[in-house]
Amino acid sequence: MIVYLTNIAEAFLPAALITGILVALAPGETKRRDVVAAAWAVAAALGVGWVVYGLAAANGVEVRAKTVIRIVAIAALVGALVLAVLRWRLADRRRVWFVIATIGVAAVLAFQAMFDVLSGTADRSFTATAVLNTELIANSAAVALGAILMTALTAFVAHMSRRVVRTATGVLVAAAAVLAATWGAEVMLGALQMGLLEVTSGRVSFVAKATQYGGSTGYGALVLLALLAVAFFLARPSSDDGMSEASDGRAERRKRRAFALGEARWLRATLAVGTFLTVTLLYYDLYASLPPTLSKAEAAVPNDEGVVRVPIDSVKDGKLYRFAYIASDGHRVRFFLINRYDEDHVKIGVVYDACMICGDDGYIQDGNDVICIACNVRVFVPSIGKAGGCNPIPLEHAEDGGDIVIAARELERGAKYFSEVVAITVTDPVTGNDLINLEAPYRYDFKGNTFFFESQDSYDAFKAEPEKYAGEVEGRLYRVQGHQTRG
Amino acid sequence: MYLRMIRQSFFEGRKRKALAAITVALAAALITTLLNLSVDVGDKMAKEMKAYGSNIRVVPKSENIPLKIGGVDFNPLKGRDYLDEAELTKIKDIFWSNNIVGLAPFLDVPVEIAGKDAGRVSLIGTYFRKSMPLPSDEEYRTGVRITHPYWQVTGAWPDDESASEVLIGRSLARRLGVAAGDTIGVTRPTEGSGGSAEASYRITGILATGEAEDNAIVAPLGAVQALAGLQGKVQSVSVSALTIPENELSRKAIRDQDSLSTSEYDVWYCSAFVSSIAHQIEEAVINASARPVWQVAAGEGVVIGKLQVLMLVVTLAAFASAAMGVSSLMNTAVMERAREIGLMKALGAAEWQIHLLFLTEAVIIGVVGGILGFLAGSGLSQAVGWAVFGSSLAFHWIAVPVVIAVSVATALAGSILPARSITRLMPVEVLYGR
Repeated sequence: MIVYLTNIAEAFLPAALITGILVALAPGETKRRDVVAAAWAVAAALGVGWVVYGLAAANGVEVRAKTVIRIVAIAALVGALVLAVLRWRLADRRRVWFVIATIGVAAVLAFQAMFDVLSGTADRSFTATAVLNTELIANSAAVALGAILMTALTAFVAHMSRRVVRTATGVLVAAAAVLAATWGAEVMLGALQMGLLEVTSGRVSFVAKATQYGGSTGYGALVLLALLAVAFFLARPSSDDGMSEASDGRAERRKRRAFALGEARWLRATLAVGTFLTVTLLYYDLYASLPPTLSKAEAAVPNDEGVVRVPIDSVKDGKLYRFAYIASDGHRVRFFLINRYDEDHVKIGVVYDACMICGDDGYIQDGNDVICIACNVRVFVPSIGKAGGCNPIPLEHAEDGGDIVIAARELERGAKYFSEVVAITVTDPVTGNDLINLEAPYRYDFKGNTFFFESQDSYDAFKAEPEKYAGEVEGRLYRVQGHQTRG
Repeated sequence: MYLRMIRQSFFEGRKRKALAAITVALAAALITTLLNLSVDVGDKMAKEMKAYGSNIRVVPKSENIPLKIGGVDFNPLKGRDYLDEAELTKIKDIFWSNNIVGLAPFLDVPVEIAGKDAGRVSLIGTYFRKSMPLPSDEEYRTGVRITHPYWQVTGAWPDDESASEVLIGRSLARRLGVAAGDTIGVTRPTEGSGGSAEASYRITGILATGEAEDNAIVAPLGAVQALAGLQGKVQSVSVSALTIPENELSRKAIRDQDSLSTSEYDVWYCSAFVSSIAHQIEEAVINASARPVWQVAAGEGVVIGKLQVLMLVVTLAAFASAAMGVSSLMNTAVMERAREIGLMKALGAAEWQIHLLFLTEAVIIGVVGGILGFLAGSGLSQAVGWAVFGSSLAFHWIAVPVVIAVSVATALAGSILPARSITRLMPVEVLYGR
């Protein structure tokens, strides 16, 4: 439900802002006929956006279509700026042309926003079945709410901009500049993807930065909206501006008061919608869209014999017990223990917290289910400890005197299943000096083990004869090798 | 000011407003009933589609050849083609084998009860919790106790290895007047020749499932195979699997597997969708056809799916007629209050301010009517639920806002025409009383 609302808000907020300001900049009063024409044009543009997205997705040309649409949208932004400049030039003359151009810009932006909403929600199911159900109704309500809020916001922006034309023009220029930059970066990305532009590191870096910040155009639009509201508030008419009753008459004063009251209502309505949208976007980005987090892992420190011992009694209650071991080169190796049956039939599954297929996102326990975070599959708990499917990778271990015994050697072998590296003190194998692994200037992978060096010399020396310095290291396992058993 | 005017005008013409609210309530009651029915089934279907466990039915390929003419199945191979019992372990050998919780084979043979005139009854052979050693797990046990956890037995479960212990269905036991501990004999009418194989079984328990097994004898698979002379054969296999909810990709795969691109196929194959698990079972077991079993979707869902257009039409008709009723009542209100409206206009009220007063009244009528209609409709839908599906319907909170929204829309739609006549009122005319 909230997915649809946030997608609509993010895609349509810039369009609502720019359209609202353009409406306010149009010379003369807004006529009813203009509003009706604009509504039809926007509705048609939304329909076209729907059809175009459908065709593009069906034919697998989404990237091309998006690139073309972005170019058209940038043209529309330029059109909007031209209109803003023209306003100061020609006052009431050629009003019709100004209105038609504004409607054109609004239609293009709405068309693009529709395309964005559809491509942003393509992987979500609007409803699981064609029969009317709660999810379908809730999602439809979210879409309807989004449409109402965006329409209302356009009207609010138009009303406020009329009072503070200079600020509104400034906001329009700022919005157009920022949007043109992000969309330009997306055009560039499309061109890179389609092979029209040569890939260089400068271009990739620009595209990466622009698209990273481009994801927050919704917040940008809300900030500009707030700016507009502040300007509107500062320019508010006072209900009692010191004029005496004698000089101005009571009727005149009451009219003023009514006007001031009306303006305050516009402001309050805008603030209410703006706050609601901000809260919705923040809730989605900071909470609802985040993946589940792993429970805390207990530190597993091997004893003098080089083994980790875990008493079976402490892990037999059916919960998932996660541990983390820090490998010699700083890899954080997570593994977990879980009783596969009940407390009367204790069979402990001992596995790495990683999947051969999905990688090291890990597993969480939700009720009785053990779930792979990456692919959301429910793992059949009695099968934990067996290889295959999306099961966690089995970890070799032994049982001894009521303890599960895991050799540190085994955990070292699985270090490459994990990508998380923590800062630890390591030793340069050539010089024997200590250094911090993450700050080491040189590193070299030998049999999957990473060695760190303080200088070019020791790096070269090691590279020439790794066996001499590395000592007896065991090769590490990689996920691409698939399941490996000893012997 | 606005609120004060609403408060003062609201209790005028109480009778008329009550009548309008009742009109809206009648339509709302009807809409609530239809909505409750539809959402109840729709939610069940959605839940089924999103469940993390599913059942898959594996049958011989020939069973799925459609040969129905006029509703009668003419497939000559129906019930005569079999799967090999030895192939069953292959189901636990597919890519997603760890997600297969259990499986139970079935072999259904018609028999007669010796000494009783009970007609033909089904003798079903299956696994209860049979040991099925796998290369990966020597102690693997599977059967209906895992795949059909809702089967309830009064007494004891039979031993899978015995050839003489059976369960008897609840209805059949009542019909025959037998109880746990009794012995029954069955004969198998052999087609063609007149002879028959005989066997005698000891009943260990009474079985209640709510399905066809209530009228059958359920025995270990080996015993039934021996009686029927079908050693090593099974008719169908129920597989219970842990799956992830269907999504766009899996629906695309169900529609047409060939439409998937290579990368989409890989993702689909390596995700535990029920459809991809079924596909892998088909790959593993010779001559098998595997289909996910969606009980609600195949039962109530079909009924509601077909009725939905009809429901929509009825809803629209109720909406329109209620709006017309409200419209005539509101028209009267505007006529009655013409002088008041004229005075407001003369005092400088804007059109929209007067409209707002009338529309607010309409909204209040809509909300009141909607709440009344929802209460009435909830009762009505329970009655319909019992009559149609034989079960009560769950409460659906989503129906409350939807019904109230529709009711308000009804009242507003009914107010459009009367509100227009406000525009036409001339202060001079009404204040003069012309």
